[in-house]
Amino acid sequence: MNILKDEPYGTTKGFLLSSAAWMVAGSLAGFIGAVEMVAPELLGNIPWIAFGRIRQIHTNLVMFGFVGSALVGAAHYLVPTLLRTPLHSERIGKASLWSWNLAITAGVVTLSLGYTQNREYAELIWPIDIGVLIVLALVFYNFLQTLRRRKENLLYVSIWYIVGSFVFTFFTYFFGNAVWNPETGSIIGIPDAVLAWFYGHNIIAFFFTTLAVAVAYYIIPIVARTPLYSHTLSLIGFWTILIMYSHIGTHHIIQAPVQTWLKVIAVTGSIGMLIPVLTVLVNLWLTMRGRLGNIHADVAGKFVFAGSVWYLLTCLQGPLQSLPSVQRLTHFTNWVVGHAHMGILGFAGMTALGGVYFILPRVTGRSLYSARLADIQYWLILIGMTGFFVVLTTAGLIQGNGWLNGEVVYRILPEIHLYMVLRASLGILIAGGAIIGLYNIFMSLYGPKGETS
Amino acid sequence: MGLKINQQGLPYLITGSLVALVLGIIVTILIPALGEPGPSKLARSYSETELRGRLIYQREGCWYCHTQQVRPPEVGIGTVQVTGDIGPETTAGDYALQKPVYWGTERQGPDLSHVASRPYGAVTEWHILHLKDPDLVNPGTVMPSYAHLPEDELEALAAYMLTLK
Repeated sequence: MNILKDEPYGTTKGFLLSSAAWMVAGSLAGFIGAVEMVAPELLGNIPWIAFGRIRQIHTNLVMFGFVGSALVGAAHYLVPTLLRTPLHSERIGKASLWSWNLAITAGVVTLSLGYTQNREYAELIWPIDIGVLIVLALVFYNFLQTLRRRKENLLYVSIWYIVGSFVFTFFTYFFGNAVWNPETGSIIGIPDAVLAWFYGHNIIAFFFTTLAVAVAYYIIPIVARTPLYSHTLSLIGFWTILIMYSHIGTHHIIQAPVQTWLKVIAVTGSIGMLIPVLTVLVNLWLTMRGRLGNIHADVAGKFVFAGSVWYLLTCLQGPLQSLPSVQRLTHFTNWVVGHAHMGILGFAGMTALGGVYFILPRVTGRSLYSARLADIQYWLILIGMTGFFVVLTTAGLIQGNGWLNGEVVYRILPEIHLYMVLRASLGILIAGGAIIGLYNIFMSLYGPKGETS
Repeated sequence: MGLKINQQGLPYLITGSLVALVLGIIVTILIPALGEPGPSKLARSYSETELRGRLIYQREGCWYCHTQQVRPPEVGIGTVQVTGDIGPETTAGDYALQKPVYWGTERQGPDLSHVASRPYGAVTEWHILHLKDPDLVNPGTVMPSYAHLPEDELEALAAYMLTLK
C-alpha cells in the first residue's frame, strides 16, 4: 500500500476521515474528564487518565485532532478549487497528513504518560512541536506553490484567510512553544505567562477562527445560491481581525500582576473585536437573507449557519468577559469552560463539520452515505452544545459568587454537582454524534458505491 | 475596489499578515518583558528535591485544578479553610524565577499560592496524607487519590508544597 499515493483530493479525504476519528477520541476523553468531576473514584484512579492528564488529552485532541484536521482538510479542497488549479503536490499533502496524525498520536501517548509542558494548548513536548511545525510548513509550501501556478487570477476572500492563517499559525506556534528552549518550552516568570496566552489566544484566533471563517465564506454563497453580499466588507473583516486579534491575548490574565497598559490594550482590542466579527457575520447573513430555506435544506449549510450563530454568541461573550468587572466573577470558573466549548465546538467545530459534509460529496463524486445520519449528528451536537453553554455558565456563576462570598472552594463543588452530572450526560450526546459522524464519513468515503451526485 | 486589490493581493497579503504578527509580538511580548520587576521576597529558587516535586506537580497536571494566583477581588475574602485565608495578592516579582508559572486555568480546588503559610500547610506529613486520601481530609472533594505514587515522589511533591509561602 502506498501511503503517499497521488490521487485527486486524497489529502483532503485523509484529513476529513482523521478529523472524524479524532473527534470520537477527543469527545470520549472529554467525557472521561467530565465523569471524573462527578465521581472521582469511579474509574479507579488510573494514572494516565487522571483528570490532570485527560484534560490535556481532551483539549489537544479536539482542537488539533478534530477541528484542526477538518479545517486543514477543507483548506486542501478550497485552495485548488478556488484557484482552478490542482494542488501542487498530493504527495506532499499526504506526507503532511501522515505527519500530522503521527504528531497527534504521539501527543496522546506522551500526555497520558505525563510528558507535558503544562502551558495551556502548548502542552505537547518539543519533538512533537517540531513535527507540528514541519507539517504547517509543508502545508503552507504546498499552498504557495499552488498559488504561484494558479489559473484563476482573482483571490477570493477564503484564500486570504487561509494564507493569513498559515503565516500566523506557524510563527505563533514557534514563538508560543518557545521551541528554542526544548526542555521546558517556556521562558521565565510573568513574560512566560504573557507569551503563553499570546499563544493560547492566537492559536484559537489564527488557526481555528480564520480557517473556519474561510470555510463559511466559501460554503454560504454556494449553498444559498447567490453571490457574496460584499467583497469590500470581507476585506475590512480580514484586516481588522489580523490587527485586533493579535494584540489581546493578555485578556486571559486581566487579574494577574501584568502591566496595566498591556491589560488596557487587551480589553480595548477585545471590544474592538466586535468589528471583524460583525463584518463577517453581517456579510454572511446578508448573503443568505431571504434564503434560509436553501441553507437549511442542506446539512452542510445547517452546520455552517449554526456555527455562525455560535460565533456571534462567543464573540459577544468574549469582549464582555474581558471587562475586569465581569471577569472578577467569571475568571477561573466553569463559565470560561463553557466559553471555550462555544468557540471550539459551537463555532469552529460546527463550521468545520459543515465543511466536511459539503466537501465529501464533491471529492468522492457521489452523495453522502446518509444525509439523515448527518442531520442526527447535527441535532445531537446542537443540543449538547446548547446544554453545555447553559449548564457550565450556571455552574460558573455559582462558583464565582461562592468564592467572592468567602465560601470554601471544595465545599462549592456539591453545589455544582448537579450541573456536572448534566454536563457529563450532555457529553454523551456529543460523543454519540462523533461516533455517528465517523461511521457516516467512513461509509461516504469507502462504503458501497451508491448513486453518483 | 475590493476586487482590484484581490487580483494582485498575494504579496500584500503575506506582508500584511507578517506586519500584524510582528507588531503583536513587539507590543504584547517584547516591550512588556523589558519592564518586568526583579524577584520579590516570595520568589525562590528550588533545591533539587523541590524542583523534582515541581516537575511531578507538572507531570500530574495539578495546575489544571489548583490556581497559584491570588486576585485582587478575593484578597481577605477567598477561603481555603478559614474565612479570608487565601493570603496576600500575588505580585509580579513572586513569579520571577518560575519556569513556567502555574497560574491555573479552572479552579476546582483551593488556590495554592500561599499553601505553606496556612495551618497544616507547612507540615510534610499532612500533605502526604492529603495526597494519598484527599477525601479523608476534605470530604466531598473531587480530587483523585495519588496513593499510587512512590513514597519518594510524594515527599518531593510535599517539599515543593512547602515552598509555596
